Amino acid sequence: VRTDAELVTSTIAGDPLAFAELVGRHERSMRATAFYILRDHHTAEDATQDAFVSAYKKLPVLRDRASFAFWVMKILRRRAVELLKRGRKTVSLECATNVAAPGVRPGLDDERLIAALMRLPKRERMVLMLRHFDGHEVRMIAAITGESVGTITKRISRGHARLRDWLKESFL
Amino acid sequence: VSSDDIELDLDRLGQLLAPGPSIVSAVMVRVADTRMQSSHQFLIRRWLMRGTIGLAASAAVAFIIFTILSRPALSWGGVVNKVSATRSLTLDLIVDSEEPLHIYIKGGLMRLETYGRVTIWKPSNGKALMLDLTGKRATSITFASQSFDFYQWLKGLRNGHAKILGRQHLDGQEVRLMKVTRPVAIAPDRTEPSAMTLWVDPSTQLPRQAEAEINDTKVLLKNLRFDAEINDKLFDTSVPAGFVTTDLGGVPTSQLQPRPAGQGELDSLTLKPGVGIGQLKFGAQKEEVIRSLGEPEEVHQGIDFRYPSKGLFVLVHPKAGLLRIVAMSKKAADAYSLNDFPGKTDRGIALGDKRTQIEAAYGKPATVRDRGNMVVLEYKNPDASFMLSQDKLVEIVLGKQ
Repeated sequence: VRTDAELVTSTIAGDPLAFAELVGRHERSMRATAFYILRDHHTAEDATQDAFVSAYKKLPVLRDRASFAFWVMKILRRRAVELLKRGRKTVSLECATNVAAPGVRPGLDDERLIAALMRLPKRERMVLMLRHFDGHEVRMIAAITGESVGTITKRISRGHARLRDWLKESFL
Repeated sequence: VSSDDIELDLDRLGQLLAPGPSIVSAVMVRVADTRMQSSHQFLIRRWLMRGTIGLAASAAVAFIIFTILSRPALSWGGVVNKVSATRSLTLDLIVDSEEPLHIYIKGGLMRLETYGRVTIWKPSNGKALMLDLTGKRATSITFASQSFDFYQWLKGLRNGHAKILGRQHLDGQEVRLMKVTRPVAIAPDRTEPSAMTLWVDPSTQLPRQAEAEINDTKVLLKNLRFDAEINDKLFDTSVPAGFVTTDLGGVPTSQLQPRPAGQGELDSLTLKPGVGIGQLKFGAQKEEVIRSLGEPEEVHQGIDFRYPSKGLFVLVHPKAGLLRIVAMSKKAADAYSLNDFPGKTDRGIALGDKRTQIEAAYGKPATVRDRGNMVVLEYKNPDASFMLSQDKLVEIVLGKQ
């Protein structure tokens, strides 16, 4: 498995499949983040596509190629906020997800969970999103980020523990 | 959400927030039509087009903040004098995780270097020379004078609250760490506190490094060296021998002709979708164009007639005649120097109007294109497009049917 940094290098060298692999690795975390900001699946998908295309154009200026995931997420957040400012009203997560996926019954608890997730330090947030949203195994996340399996495992455990603590506090 | 089943809850949340099929193929289709920017092209564009003279300010800011902090009794005039007394500065600018840009500032001149590419820029008159040392290409352009107001920056800084965080080592040398928080305008009517961290050399009492996060973008100014010796040759704007030169034109803001204001002149600038401008019709030959609009202030490649004082560009083909009319605002022109187009369309639409006004005048557009910070309303028959930024019309383009 190639690291993100290696895929970035291959993309710049002219390998489009490398970029496709990068998109596939991170798309669900990206779409979830966009949805958290925009509360509309179609707009979130547009924002995510825009962010990947923008990242592709600017790829040669990315100095720390291992930080691709954080970098593209930052581009996405800017794009999503731009779209939000363009007059789109925010709605509750419950309302937005019910419209998009009527079979699911999410509630205010989901608001709390995603809000807590977004509060996590960025490296913990990123590995949790890669694990739970993009569905990658720990070994794969280690390969993606270029870090050791032990580091990723610790980060996931810390993230889970922090979320548990925060959510317990919010129930008090 | 049960705090005991956090892993399951997160899995479920992922399904909820990002359902449906993958977007990989959609992204790859779009990427296939996209050209990767060279790092130099991107950085220079970021630097010049966004009016990022703020860099010079940022660097100077570090100096000024320290001056204010260390000598609180210093008068306002004293601060300004201190800044003026700084003769030169070198630094590395790193935005987020991108390649560093090496910068030299001396006597109102700036030199930017990255990847064997060099830009020498004089912000006061907007003249810039870009050199591709490997490809032996030189590009000259005149940008609008930057509107950055240095003294506003100074005033803003005086509202800063400083806190000394302690001592640290930077490149093996002990430095003092300071954090300054100050209000920064993020919109015309809104400010937000913005923090800057400084690493100050106690022996020289000058900052060696500064870091700030502005609008979610981390800006790091490294290796700050004030009053460093900089060879004047670094600012030499003569094109080296053997280089192929391209002049992209541009008029210094100070040399722009006055914006037309008389009724007769404004009538001659009435935009008529599908027809032309004023009495001039699509297909008109070069001589007619000049009779109607006057001698172009700039001509590029023999067909691109530019009237920056009128905010107007027209494309005149040697055989097909007048093909395209572009009426622009300063905002749309970015760093290119021009006056806002003063005319209106035949249905009374002028720069600054809202989307609702355009749609009331011309109906629903055939296509609406979202270009990030701009929205373009495109009409097919007649061929016209209206570009809006923050719901204000900034550019009108008319084409021959």
